[in-house]
Amino acid sequence: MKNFKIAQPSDFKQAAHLLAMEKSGFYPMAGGTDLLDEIKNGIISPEAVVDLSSIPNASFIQTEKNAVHIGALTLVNDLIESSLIETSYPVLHQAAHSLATPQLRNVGTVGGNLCQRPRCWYYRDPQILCWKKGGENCFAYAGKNKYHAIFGGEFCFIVHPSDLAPALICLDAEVLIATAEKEKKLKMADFYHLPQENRRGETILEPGELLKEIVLPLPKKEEKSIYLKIKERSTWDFQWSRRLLRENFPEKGSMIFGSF
Amino acid sequence: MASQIWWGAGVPGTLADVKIHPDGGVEVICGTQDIGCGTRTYMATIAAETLGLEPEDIIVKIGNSDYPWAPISGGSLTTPSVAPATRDAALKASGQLKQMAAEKLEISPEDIVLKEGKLVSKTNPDKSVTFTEIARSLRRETVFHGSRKGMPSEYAYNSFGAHFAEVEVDTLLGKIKVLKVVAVHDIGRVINRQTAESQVVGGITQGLGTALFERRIVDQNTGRLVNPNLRDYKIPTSLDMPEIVPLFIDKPDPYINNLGTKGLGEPPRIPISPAIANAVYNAIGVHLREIPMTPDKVLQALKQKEAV
Repeated sequence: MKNFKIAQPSDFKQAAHLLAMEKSGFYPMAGGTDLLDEIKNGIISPEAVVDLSSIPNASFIQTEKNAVHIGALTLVNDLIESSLIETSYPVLHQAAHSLATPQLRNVGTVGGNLCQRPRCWYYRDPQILCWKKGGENCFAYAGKNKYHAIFGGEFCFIVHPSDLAPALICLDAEVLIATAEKEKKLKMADFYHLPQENRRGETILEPGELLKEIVLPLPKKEEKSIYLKIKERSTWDFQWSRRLLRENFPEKGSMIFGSF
Repeated sequence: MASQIWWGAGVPGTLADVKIHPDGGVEVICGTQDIGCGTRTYMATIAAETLGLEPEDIIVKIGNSDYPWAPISGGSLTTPSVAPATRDAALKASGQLKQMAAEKLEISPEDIVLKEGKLVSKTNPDKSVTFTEIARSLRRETVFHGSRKGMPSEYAYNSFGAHFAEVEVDTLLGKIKVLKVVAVHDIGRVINRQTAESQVVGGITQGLGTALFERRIVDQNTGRLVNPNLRDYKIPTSLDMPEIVPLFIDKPDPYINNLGTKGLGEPPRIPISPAIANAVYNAIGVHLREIPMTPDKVLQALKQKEAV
C-alpha cells in the first residue's frame, strides 16, 4: 500500500473543488468501509483521500414541506433507527436492515452505499486487469460467474451491490449532486450507468461531483412496500437476487428487480 | 443420519510429571499443547481429583519441549495420551502421600482417602492430616513421573459417533435450513462435559459450513482463487446454526487406558455433512452428491428428479 494524503474539507464545495482539481488519484471517502478495502487489497492507490466525514451537518433525516431529505453521510444504521423511515418507507427500512452487519451499518453511510464499487471477484482481484480496470476482457464471461449479471452484459457483467439503490428507485427518490459551483437534482433512476456507458464508474458522477442528499417524496397514504432479498446464508451476505414491491392501492403498483 | 468411526486412542509412551512442593503447591507438567480443546483444564482436573484438591490449586505447565515428552495434537490423540499420563503421575504421588500419612496416623495406607485438601481415614474420619502438612514432610520438591502405558493387545481401538439432522428445504429457492442436530459420541469416559460439548458444537459448526456454504473457488482460466476472503468464502453465521444437542455414551472403555477415555478432536466434524445430505435426501427424495449443497445444486437436483 502506497502512502497517501488525507484532505478534510469543511464543506461539499471545498470537497468538490479538490476532487475536480485533481482528476485522477483523489478519492472521496465517507464511511470508508469499501474504499479502505479497495486500498488495502491493492485495487486502487490514491494520491489523496478526501474525507467527507469532516463536513458538518451532512448527516440528517429531515422532513420538509414536500419531501424527506436524507444527508449523504447519514449512517445506514440511522435509517434503521428512524421511526419515520420505518413507518413511511418500509421498503427502504427493510433494505437497510438487510445489508452487511451491525458493525458495517454503524460506519457505512447512505451515500457510500449508493456509490460503492462492484463486488465482482475479478474486479476485486489485484492481479487481474479486467475490462472495468482498463484491461481488454471481462473474465466473468467465460469464468466463474455464479454471482454475475444474467441480463445485459456485453463488456462487463457486474451487478451493483447496493441494497438501498433499488429501494430508493422504487420510492421515486431524487439525488442532489454538488459541484464546486452549483447543485443539481436528478432522478435516482438516472443515477446509474450501464458498464458500457461509463467504463470506470457505475454512477453518472464526474470528477468533482459529489452525492450530497437523497430527496424522498412524502409518503402517500394507503401505500405499501416490501423488500425481499435472497441470500445464500442467513445474514452478512450480499444479495443473490432481490425483488421490491410498492403498491398504492388501488391506483398503481411497481415492482423492481435487483440482482447479484 | 450418518455415523463415524475414528482413531483417538492416544500414543503409548506419553509422559507427564506431578511435582509437589513442600508448601503444598502442585504442578502438573507435560510437553503437550492446548490447541483450544481444554488440555490445561483436564490436566488440572485429573490431578486435583486424584489428590483430593480443587483444580484451581494446580499449576499446569505445558507448551515447552523441555517438559516430559508428549505427541503432537492431531488425529484426536491429545487427551487419550496426556490424560492417562497425568493420572498415572498423580496416582504415584497419592500413593506416596498415603504411605506417609499412614505412618503418621498409625493406620493402613489402604484406609486413607484424599479429599477436600486432607488425607482422611475411611473407617475413622476423625483421623486426618492436611495435604499441606504431608507435603511439608516431603521436605523438598518431589517429582512423580507418569506415563501412558501400551495399547491393549487383541483389540482394535476406535471412537464412534452418529449425527442426526433435521432439515427444511425450500424447493422454490433451493435453500437448505438445518433445524436441529442431535450428536451422539462414544469416546469412553467424558473427562469434562463442558469442553466436550463445546468441541461437538465446534465440529458441527465447521461441518455445517462445509455442507452448505464453504468452498474454495478457483478460476479455470487464470488459476486464481477468486474467493480468498470471508465475504466470498462463506462460513455459517449464528443465524445459520441449528439447535445442537450433544450426547455422550460416557461409559469408560475398560481396556484403552487407565482413565478409559478416547479422543474427541475430530469425531464431531466427521458425520455432520453426510447427516445433513441424508436428511436432504429424506426431504426431497434426491441425493446430492457434492458439497457444499448450495441452492443452485439443490434446484438442479430437483429438476433432474422431475425429468426422470
